[in-house]
Amino acid sequence: MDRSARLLNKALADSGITPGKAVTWREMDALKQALRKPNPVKATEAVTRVRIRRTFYHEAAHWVHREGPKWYQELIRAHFEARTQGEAVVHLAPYGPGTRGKKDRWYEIYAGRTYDWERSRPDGVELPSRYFELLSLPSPDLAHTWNDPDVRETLLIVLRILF
Amino acid sequence: MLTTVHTLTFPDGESVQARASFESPQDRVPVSWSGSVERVPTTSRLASADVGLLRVVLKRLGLTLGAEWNEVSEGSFDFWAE
Repeated sequence: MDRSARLLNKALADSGITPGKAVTWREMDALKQALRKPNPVKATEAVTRVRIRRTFYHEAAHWVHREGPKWYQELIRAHFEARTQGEAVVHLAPYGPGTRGKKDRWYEIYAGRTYDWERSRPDGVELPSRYFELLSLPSPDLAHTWNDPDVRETLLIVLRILF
Repeated sequence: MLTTVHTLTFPDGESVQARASFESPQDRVPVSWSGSVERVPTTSRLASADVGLLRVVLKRLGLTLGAEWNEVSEGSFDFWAE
C-alpha cells in the first residue's frame, strides 16, 4: 500500500473514526489535527500535502464503493466491463510487476487495475477511487479533465452515488 | 522515477514537446515545454501537472489543434512498486 495511505489510515485511527458509523465534527477535527502532525515519512519520501489530500479522496471512495449499495457496485462493474470488453489483463506499466489490469482509455492506467481475488468478473475497484481523486484537484485542472469525454463519461457514473 | 514526453506534431511538420518526471502518479510536478510552444494556447500550457492530467490535456490538444499526439515514457513509479 502507498505509504501516504498508511499515514492516512493511522490518522483515521487516531481520530476515532470508524467505518460504518456516522462521523462527528469532533472526529473530523481530530482527523485534521492528525494530518497536520509532522511525520518521518514526509521527510524521507517527499509525501506532499497534495498527495495526502488525493489519497484521502482515493481511500474514502474505496470505502463508499465497498460499503455502498449493491446497485452502485453493479453500476461500476458494468461500466468497467463495457469499457474493457475483450481486453486482456496485462501488467500496468509503469507500476510494479504485481500491478495488473485492463488499460482501456482511463485517464490514468491504475484505474483499470484488477485483482486476483476477482476471478473472471472484475469489480472495477479502482474506478471510484481514481475518479473521485479528481475532485481534489484545483478547479482549472478539474475543468481540463472534465472537458475530456472519456473522463467525463466515467466520472459521471462514479458520482452517481451522490445524486 | 517515471519520465514522460508528450509530442504534438502538426501537419506542417512543426512539433511541441511537454516533458515531466514523476515519483508517484499523484505528484504534481513542473512541466517543461519546448519546440513551437506558441502554437499551444497559454491556458493549456500547464506549468505543472500530475501524470493523468498531463495526458488528458495533451491528448485533447492533439484533437483540437489537429496535431498528432504521441506519448513516450521511461522508468517506473518506484514509490508504488510492489
